[in-house]
Amino acid sequence: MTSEKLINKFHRLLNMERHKQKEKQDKIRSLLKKLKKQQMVLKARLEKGQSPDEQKRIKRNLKVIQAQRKKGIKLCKSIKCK
Amino acid sequence: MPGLKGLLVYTLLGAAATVVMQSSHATLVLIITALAAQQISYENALALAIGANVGTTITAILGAMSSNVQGRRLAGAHLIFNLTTGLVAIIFIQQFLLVVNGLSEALGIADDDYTMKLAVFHTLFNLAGVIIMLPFTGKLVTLLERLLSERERLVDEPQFLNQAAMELPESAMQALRNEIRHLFENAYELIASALSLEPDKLRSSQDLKQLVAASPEVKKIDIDDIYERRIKVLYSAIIAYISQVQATTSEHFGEELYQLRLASRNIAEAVKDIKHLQKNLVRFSKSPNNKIRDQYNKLRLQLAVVLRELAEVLGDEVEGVSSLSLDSIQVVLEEGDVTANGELDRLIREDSIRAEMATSLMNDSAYAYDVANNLINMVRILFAPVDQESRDAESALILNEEEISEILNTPDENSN
Repeated sequence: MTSEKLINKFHRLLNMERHKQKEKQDKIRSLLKKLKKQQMVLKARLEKGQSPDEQKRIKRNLKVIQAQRKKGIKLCKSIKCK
Repeated sequence: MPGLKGLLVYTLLGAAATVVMQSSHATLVLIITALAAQQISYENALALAIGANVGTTITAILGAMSSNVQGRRLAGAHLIFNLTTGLVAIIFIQQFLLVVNGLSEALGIADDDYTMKLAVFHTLFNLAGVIIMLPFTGKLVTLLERLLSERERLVDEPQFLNQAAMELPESAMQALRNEIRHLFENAYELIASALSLEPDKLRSSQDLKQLVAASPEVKKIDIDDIYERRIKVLYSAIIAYISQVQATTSEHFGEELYQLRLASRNIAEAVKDIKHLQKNLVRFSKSPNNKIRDQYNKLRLQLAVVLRELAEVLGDEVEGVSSLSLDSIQVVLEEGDVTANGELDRLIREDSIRAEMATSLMNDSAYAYDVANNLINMVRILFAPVDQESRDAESALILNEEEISEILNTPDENSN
């Protein structure tokens, strides 16, 4: 195998890896969008005024979504840097 | 054979012929042929047509024998509808004949064209049936529901696992998912009953604290018996089906099958954990020590919250987010851990509960945790996206223990 062929093969391999990373990034982005949407819904429900227990529950869910989004955004950025 | 006697005899004959042939269409063809060949009179032909309409219900009745209650009700409705219409036609046969003659004249049908007149009669007869029965549809439904009530089956049966679904791996996977969901519903009811809570109320928006307070004394239920009748039969069927599917499909589905097996095992384990928990729930719900009673009620409330959240997640089914919503339930679990949150130590220090009560509470708290955890894991598997990439992305966002305890330590104001 000539060195040119070897380099080409290596390039293709790199591209495949990049393609996979891009796909993963897209999936995470789509999840982040859904979480954002859910966050908005919960915030709207909280503003409507709920019972103390329901308020507690919504606040807890909001904290979880916030943590998941933070994790997702961090992951997205790290994939971009690679 | 003329008169009422002839009418009744030929109606019975028509019904009998249709029952034997199981086709009113075939009987009508015979009637028309016999009428055209003048083997029978026009009046006799009408009576045979009425009989054929009643006899045709046999097909539905035979079909309903192996059907569920809904199928039997439908066959019953068919029989009542056709029987009523037949009776009305026999009683008002003269009036029917007048209308048929009038209509035939208007349509230009010759006076002696009895085959066409028979067709007009048949149309009119069915139309009359619809007009008569339509206003009584509601009453018919009530009557059939009363007559054919849905008896609770003592032993549950698999609803989705069949040989036809096994033809394609994808349909087999879907059948398995549906059956696991069925198993989960049964386990959900069992767990709710073991907590002395009504499953329907758990799924509603009623205040959970009030629900728990409304039934302070936990009643013992025979979990072993329910397990045998409503859990084990389905669990065994699922495991057997998975083994069968595994033998016929490619290795590509191996991992998914393994996960589904795990999901059904999670349900069975959750039921076994609730069985262990029930013993002390019953015992301490009657204890004169209100501190230990409160602690066991807290366990009940914690599991009630988990069950409600799970019902919401399952009812929501927003693709991709459902599985992530389970992290909120995990937070509820960690929040209520009496060993970790210092509650148990405080109770012992203050001498509110005896040491043996504390150890029981510690063990039972672990059982409650396991019940919830098993159910959460099961839902996570069942709701995992089908494609590997989405599954990986979702797993990457699921919070770990450290992140969950970070949430527990975060004040509410920061959740914007």
